[in-house]
Amino acid sequence: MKLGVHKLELQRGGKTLCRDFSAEFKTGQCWGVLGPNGAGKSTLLHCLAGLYPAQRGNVELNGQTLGTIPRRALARQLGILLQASVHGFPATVMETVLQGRHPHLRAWEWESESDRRLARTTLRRVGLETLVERRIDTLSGGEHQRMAIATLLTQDPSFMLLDEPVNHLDLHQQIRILEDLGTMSGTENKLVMMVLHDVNLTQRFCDHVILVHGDGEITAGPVAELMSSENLSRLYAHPMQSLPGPHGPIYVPG
Amino acid sequence: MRHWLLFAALLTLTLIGLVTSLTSGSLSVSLYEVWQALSGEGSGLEQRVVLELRLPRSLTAFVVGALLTLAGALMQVLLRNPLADPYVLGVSGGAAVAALLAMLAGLGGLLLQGAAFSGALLATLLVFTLSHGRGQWTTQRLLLTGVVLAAGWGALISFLLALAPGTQLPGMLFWLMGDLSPARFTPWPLLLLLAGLAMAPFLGRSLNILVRGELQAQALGLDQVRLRYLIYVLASLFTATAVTLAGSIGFVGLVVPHLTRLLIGSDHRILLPASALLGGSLLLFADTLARTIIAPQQLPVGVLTALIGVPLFLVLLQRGRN
Repeated sequence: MKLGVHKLELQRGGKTLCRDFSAEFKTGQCWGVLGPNGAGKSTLLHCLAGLYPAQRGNVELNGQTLGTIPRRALARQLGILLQASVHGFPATVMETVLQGRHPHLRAWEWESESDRRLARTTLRRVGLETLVERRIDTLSGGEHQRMAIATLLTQDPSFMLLDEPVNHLDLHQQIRILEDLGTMSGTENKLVMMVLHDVNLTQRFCDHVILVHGDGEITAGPVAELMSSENLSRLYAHPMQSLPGPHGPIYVPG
Repeated sequence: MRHWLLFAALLTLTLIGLVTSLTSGSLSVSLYEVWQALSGEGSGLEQRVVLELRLPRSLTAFVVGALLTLAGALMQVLLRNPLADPYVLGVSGGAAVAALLAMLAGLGGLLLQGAAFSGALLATLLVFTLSHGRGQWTTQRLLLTGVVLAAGWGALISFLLALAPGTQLPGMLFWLMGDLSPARFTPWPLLLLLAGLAMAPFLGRSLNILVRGELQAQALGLDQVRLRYLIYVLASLFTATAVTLAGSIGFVGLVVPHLTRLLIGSDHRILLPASALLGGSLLLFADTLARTIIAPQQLPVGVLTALIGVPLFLVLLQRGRN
């Protein structure tokens, strides 16, 4: 299964973020999205999720144009972790995570025991099993972020787009979550695509990378081909050096 | 299981409210006489008081309270704002201006109700058209348009009150504060309420998702634009109906949804029917008090909903925090 973009052009606030971008993202791959602030990483992710219209070109899910797929059907196959979340009225962690099952249930259906089991499993997966009945307005930033990831895992789509999944997470949780997402793409045959700000985490956990320059130029390809100190220096407009490390090269800003 | 107990308790509360309302008043009627009157075996005065005065008024009070509560809960979701109430977008303002104009023209009864309902619909359409702009229908824009128009209606109301002859003022003020005394029972508000309650289990989960923000709702597969149109239409229709029947009774639509959230959480599949029952009962009790507390004089029921509701809500809010 694949998500494809064809001659994509994206604009936001009068600025062209992406021009003539064509690429193919397949399940089983783990993509990192890198780029400076305001380059259009989130806009690209939103566009791939059908939440932001392309100026030109189109996005296809398994050959079908994204706009022609009904939202509910799309949400069963493709899910996104948004960067900002809105607190509604008070709800518990369990209730919120169960909302991931929304596209799988008919309007009048209630969550079944197997939906609850799945939610409990994903909460264990992100290390929140002790907070199941907690109210979400009492969670810390990192706990809230892991709950949002658990909601996406409960939605259980084949295509998972994550906008800065390691935001607010401590060092241990960053590695733990990224390790899980990275292996998951292979073992559960999912496409994982995540916006990251840490080039070394990208180098370590992703097999493919998208470099979003912010002036319309976007390049996509395998980590081994695209990640280099020259490319990264140009991307961030900041000198980068590469040093040998335990999981491949380590990039250090100069 | 917890939910069944909750609904059993709420239904009991409703029943107690109904019985209290039917038995109390300037003419004391016993429970047995109420039963006789309802089963058509009563005699003379009691039968007439119960069937022709108290029953229509009690039913109307319950329906109005329930409709206002549903409208308030829906508006709070639509605007994602806990301060929203059924009147926040000016539906009642439009109804009030039309009703006051009708009163100044010397109209009453059904014509007055018709004017109020038309005014409410006009206000609804006005907000909808103006907030729609070019394609975008954002929560922010809807809220601002509605609040500004509501302020405009408020100014018109003051203007009309200033113009009105002294003899008409008390009637107009009673209408504005919310008053159930002219209530005659017609079945369509009840049918509307039942339709609203029947939709709750279908809409509830989507409402829970919508509260999480427009993008998140779309990401979870919700056609949020269509749902928001539907909520807007439903809430406006409920409000228009309630205002038509009883004027603008404040407080119920704002506070009862929150009261219910404090009691049972914010799953709208439970919240909508539960808060409707609670809102209906609260207004039923308030109206019984309004017509008995300083009998034979009657108080506007809107005054009592606030007098009962404020302490009740504050106590629950304090308890919830601990």
